[in-house]
Amino acid sequence: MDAHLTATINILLGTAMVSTLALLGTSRLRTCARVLGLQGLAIGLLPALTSTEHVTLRIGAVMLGNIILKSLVFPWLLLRVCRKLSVRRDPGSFVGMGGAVLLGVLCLGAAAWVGTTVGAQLPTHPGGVYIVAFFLVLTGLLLIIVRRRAVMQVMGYLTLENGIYLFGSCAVIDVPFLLEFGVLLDVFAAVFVMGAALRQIHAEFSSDDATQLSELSG
Amino acid sequence: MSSANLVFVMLAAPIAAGIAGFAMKSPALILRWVAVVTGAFFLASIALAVQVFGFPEVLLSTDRALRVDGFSVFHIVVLGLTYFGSSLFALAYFRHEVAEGHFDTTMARRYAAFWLAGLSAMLLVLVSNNLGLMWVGMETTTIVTAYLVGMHGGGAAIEAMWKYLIVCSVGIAFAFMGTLLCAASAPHAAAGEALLWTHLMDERAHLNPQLMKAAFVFLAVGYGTKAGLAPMHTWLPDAHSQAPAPVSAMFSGFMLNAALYCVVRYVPIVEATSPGFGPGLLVGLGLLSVLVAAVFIIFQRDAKRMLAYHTVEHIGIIAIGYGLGPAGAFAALFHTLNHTLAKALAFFSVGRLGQIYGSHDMGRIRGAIDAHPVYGPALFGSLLALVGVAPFAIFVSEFLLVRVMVQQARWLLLVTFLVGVGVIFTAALLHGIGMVFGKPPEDVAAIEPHPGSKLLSFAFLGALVFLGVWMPAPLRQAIESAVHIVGIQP
Repeated sequence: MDAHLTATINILLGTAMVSTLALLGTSRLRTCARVLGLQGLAIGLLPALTSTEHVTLRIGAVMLGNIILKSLVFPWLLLRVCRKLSVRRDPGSFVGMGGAVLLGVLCLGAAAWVGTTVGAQLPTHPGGVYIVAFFLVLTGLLLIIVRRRAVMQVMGYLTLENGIYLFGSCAVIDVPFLLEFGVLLDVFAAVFVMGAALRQIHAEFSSDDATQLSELSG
Repeated sequence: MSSANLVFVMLAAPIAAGIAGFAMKSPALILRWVAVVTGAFFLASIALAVQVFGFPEVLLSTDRALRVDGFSVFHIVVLGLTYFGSSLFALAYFRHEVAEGHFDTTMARRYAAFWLAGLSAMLLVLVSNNLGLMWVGMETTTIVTAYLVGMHGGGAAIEAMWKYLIVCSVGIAFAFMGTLLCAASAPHAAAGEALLWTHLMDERAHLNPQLMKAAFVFLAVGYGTKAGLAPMHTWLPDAHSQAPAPVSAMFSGFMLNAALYCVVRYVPIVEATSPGFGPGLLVGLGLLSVLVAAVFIIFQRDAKRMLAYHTVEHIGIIAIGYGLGPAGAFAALFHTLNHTLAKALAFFSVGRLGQIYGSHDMGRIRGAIDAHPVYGPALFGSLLALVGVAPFAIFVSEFLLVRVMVQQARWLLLVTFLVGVGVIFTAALLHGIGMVFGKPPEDVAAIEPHPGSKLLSFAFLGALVFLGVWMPAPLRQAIESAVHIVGIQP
């Protein structure tokens, strides 16, 4: 593989990883939404560079759809929700920001092990693509668990989904176009419905603090 | 009409009918419209079963993305039955809500649109030969049914909706990871074939065993979350307790079965590369579900939450069945039908009684037999069926399962299973006796039941007794045809 191409792939993978750690360590929600957009851009560009085939119209269309949705539409929707609900910061719940980053580093260790083990059975790609993919999946889950704001849980879901998209685009070469389009549409619909649900939560509780959602238990 | 055309109509018509509901001007008309559409769907599902009966499979599209076989058709009929029964019950349930001012035309239109879109999405799950398309169908069910969970409004309902949305979306995302791993385990598949179930079945001996194992773990956890298998069941009691009763009946009666259906589709594939791994995981998760349900049912105070934990138990029982080979799969499929009938009736009864008592608190629901001469006895009858009392059909399916455990000398499994269902039997029966007998609170007035509710309750309860004493030959053959597809030798 061309050295420049490898370097570009590494830069994009590095961007995805750093943006994920930034999501864990940032309390400002508007910054988080923009960082998520950057992550979406990096993840959206990667399939074109890691593909062993030429970039066909199909790959190009899916890539473009992903980039538009994940780096523009979702961040815009999230920023809009933050503005409408007047929520600015997420102080984190039981572990705090420092603890979340520390857990993120542990996730990186776990992702390195899983990514190396599973990656050994899959098509070869440079720069530990599978490690980054699993890191995003684990960190997305972590964000959902350790953050207080419901809007941040949506960002966690999108990070997780970015990891799965990266994994799928490298591990499975031949996915039918209509299916990829369907998956993209489903993710869009899920985020849209989550946005609507966030408004309902805010209307009911005058906040989107997920720790308030504790009436039902047992 | 050919099977392919029939399925395409069944996929498209509910969505079109949901949109048509927006042109209707009263909740009663919309609810009747939904009942008519689901009734037609149920009849169409029977027609499809008759057409497919005797064929190993019927392809529905030239690219092989859609197909039906005995396993899917059995579930399609159960889907039709659940939706039709729940839609009929919704007529009475929402009539009360309209009278109380909790259900207006706007809500009715949205209910019809999401309810019927859920029907199409679940059918898509069942007719997909492309496992990615199956995933799209299952994810769509989460998106379109989230509104139904929170439609009553209020803090608790919105909390339940949010938990349902987040937990199930994450679960289904994990299932997608499993689907991709499964496709990656077949590196030499021709263009567009890596995700076809039929292709994976043909090539199952040549799949990468490590990747297939990893795939099945993701699939079992992912779809298992939506199916309500412990320990991923946390959304289920909240969503079931807060959703309107017809929605709870549909969730328990079919949606969870659809998620389990997705897991079971992969069992014969993983079995070829890693014998015993898939069934072992299913039995483990199933047994854990029975035990978790046993602990939580004891301490429940809310009748709908108790029924939700009953669902965790029964999904666990069905999962155990699928993990025990063809005889176990037979019991599991029969149990699927029986559980659908019993649980739907139980939710109908608790839902209507909840409206009469103004609460689902089991401390308040007393003397239900006197308060409602139909749904009081129906609640007790359905609870007896759910805990496995003879002659109800659940007794037979559970007995079949126990017999398989004995035949396979799975003694530890048998003892643990019997302890779990024994605890549930005692606890649920005590809760049930407390609700049904005694004197109703003074502020609860006995009501004259609607003839329709009598008919619906007797139909469901009658079917449970009928199937408990005699299994019709066509049903036996339909179940055997389904077992032939997914029942692997232990």
